[in-house]
Amino acid sequence: MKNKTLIIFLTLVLGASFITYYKTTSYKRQPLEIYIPCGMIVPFQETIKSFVKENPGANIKPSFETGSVLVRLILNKGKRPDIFVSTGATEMKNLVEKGLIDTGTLKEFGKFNLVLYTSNSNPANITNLNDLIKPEVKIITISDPRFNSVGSYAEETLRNAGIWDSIKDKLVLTDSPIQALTFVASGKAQAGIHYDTCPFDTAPEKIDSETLKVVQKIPAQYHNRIVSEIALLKEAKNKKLGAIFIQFLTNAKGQEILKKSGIESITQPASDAKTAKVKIDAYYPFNEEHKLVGDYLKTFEKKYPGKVSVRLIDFRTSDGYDEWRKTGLSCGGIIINGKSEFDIDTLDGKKTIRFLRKVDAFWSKEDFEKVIDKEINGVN
Amino acid sequence: MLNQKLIEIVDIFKCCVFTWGAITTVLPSFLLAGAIATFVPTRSVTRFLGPKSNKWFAYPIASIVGQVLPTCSCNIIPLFTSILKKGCGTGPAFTFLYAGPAINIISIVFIFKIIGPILAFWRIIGVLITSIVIGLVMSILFKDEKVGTEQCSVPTQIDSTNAVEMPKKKSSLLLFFITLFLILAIGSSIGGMNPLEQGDRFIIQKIIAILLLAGGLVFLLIKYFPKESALSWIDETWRLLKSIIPILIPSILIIGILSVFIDIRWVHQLFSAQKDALGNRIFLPTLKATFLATLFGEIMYFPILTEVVFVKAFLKLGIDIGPALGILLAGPGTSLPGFLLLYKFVGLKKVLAYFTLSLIIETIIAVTLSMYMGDYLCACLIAK
Repeated sequence: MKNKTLIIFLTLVLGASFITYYKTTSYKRQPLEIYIPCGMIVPFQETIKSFVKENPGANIKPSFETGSVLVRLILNKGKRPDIFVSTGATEMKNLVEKGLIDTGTLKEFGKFNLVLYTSNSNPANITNLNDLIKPEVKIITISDPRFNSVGSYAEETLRNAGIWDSIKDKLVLTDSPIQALTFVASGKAQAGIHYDTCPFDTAPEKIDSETLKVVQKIPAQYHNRIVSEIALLKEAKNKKLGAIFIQFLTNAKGQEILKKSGIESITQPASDAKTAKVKIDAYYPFNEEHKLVGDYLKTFEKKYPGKVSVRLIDFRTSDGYDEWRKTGLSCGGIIINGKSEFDIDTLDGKKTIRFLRKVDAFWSKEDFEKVIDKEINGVN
Repeated sequence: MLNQKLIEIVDIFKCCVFTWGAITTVLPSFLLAGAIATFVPTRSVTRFLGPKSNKWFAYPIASIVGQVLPTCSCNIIPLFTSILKKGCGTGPAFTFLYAGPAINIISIVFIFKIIGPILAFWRIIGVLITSIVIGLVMSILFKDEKVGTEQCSVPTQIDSTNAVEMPKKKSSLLLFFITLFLILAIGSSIGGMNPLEQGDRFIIQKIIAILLLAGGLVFLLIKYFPKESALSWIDETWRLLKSIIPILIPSILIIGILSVFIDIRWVHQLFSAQKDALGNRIFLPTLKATFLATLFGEIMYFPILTEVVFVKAFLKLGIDIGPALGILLAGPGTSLPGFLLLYKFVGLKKVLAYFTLSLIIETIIAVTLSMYMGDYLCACLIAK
């Protein structure tokens, strides 16, 4: 009788353990679909390999395509991967504007530089941006700046170099960056602007190395900082594994893998919540109205790299709602290092600020900057 | 300079036409087309083309009869008029006229290999729809003046099976076709279009499989086929090769030269995709570009298969997928010389109706593909 009871007890314990184990690890078995621009095949294959090694059983399904094509798959064909990766700001912005990205999870993970390239024979003898205005340069090609990041940075560069008006009639805009490379390689166009990494550095097999050459590394002052971004979609099915993957990619190990694969690491791992001195958690419904707050807060990560981490938690999502409720907030607000209320010194004396609701309602940007400064330096 | 231009001409087709993969695909397709022309009894299908035949049979059959006779838009006209004179219905005859040059196995395999599966699939569907609609509308517009017998007889030019003795065992013929299909399938997988593919890991296995299948084919022929039938098949295949390859190779070079000297700004202004800020096509410019390209395909004479090479070259220069499909649909079945020849036999009204109908239907199909099926990205643009 005692043996029977023991067997039943052990069976129940084992069964319960198995169910608990199964439930707690089921997210790993669920596929994690990632949309990745095809120029990042090598770094992401390497990262995925390493991630799966650290998370045995993780089921990662990468889809590689031109970035703008991936955006259109999401916007027009109803595809909903768990994670979207962008080589620059444009593709991600097009999805954020449509409210499809969970902006609280958006992270930067690598940076690029631009180069001016020509065919190997370079018959117009182009050596720098200013040469593009020469009459012997008939056709310049870049990818369409409206939906390709590299194209938008190229346009910005040509404008800031002061040559846009002189060369705009020579421009042929292509659907994809790789098509622009092909036009230059085949001699159909004399020059183009592209990232310094893929395919010049990371994937030379994609172009005939004998047909293209880099003639100038474009100085960074001609364009905005070019950073690649990664984020979960709001409708992601496997948010848990997605968040772990993003964390892996942006932590030191992930950055090291990317660096080995040719993607320049960002100066400091963005928003590393473990090491940052100031942790900002913003709880809002990140719709059009509150997006500005999110964008504003994110500037602090760039202003204080490694010292400030910002998490944007959209409480319209189920996970965001649970987290928001735990804070005790009843409307949108910001928690800095666990607090939402701060005393700051003003000309009129001490003032208590509560970071609730949107900016300019109960608090101003000036107040916020003072608090962050105080949290970092201990003074205001 | 000349040397550089020659390299550029060869470069245009380096990744798709001048490859081992193209050879291992196209050669078996000639063998298969020869086998269909030799062993498929044409009379058994064309008897459904009479004016009193069931429409549900007549039109689909008329649209695929071209399988037995790879030909171009001019060579098909004498066959079309023979069919018409022998009492076949106006509708099915026009369906045959349009689909004949576009639907044969060689051009389907060629386009699948050279351009890719999406456009190949849409060309097949587009040709079937266009040809059947043309046939149906023509039969309504022009009632058959001379209604023949229920079964129209078939001109001898397209009934090559009369003289061929079939193998005694029917199953051996089936096995023969299956083997040919397998050779074609394995051959076409060599040097695939997958941009991620860095090399064919199973190339040795594939070559061994093709050799074994070829051995099996020879065994079947020796053991079960009358000698004359086997020789007829080889003759037919050789006839196809002789009639197509000497035109195709110079055409490839001419198209290569043309594409080297064409300014991509011109191609982009006329035929590339006009897109909105998110990269979606805008309807009216897409319709305009597709209509212009289809009109060009309607009047331009393309010897068999050359329209595929032409479209490939222009896809690499940046034309959109809609204009590309417009040319692929209009290229083989219609041409200005073809219309002039047709006018002599059937008169102005029928020619104008045929021209207008085909232009409208082809444009609608091509625009539909363009608006809903996304972009064409050639493997050559991604992989070297």
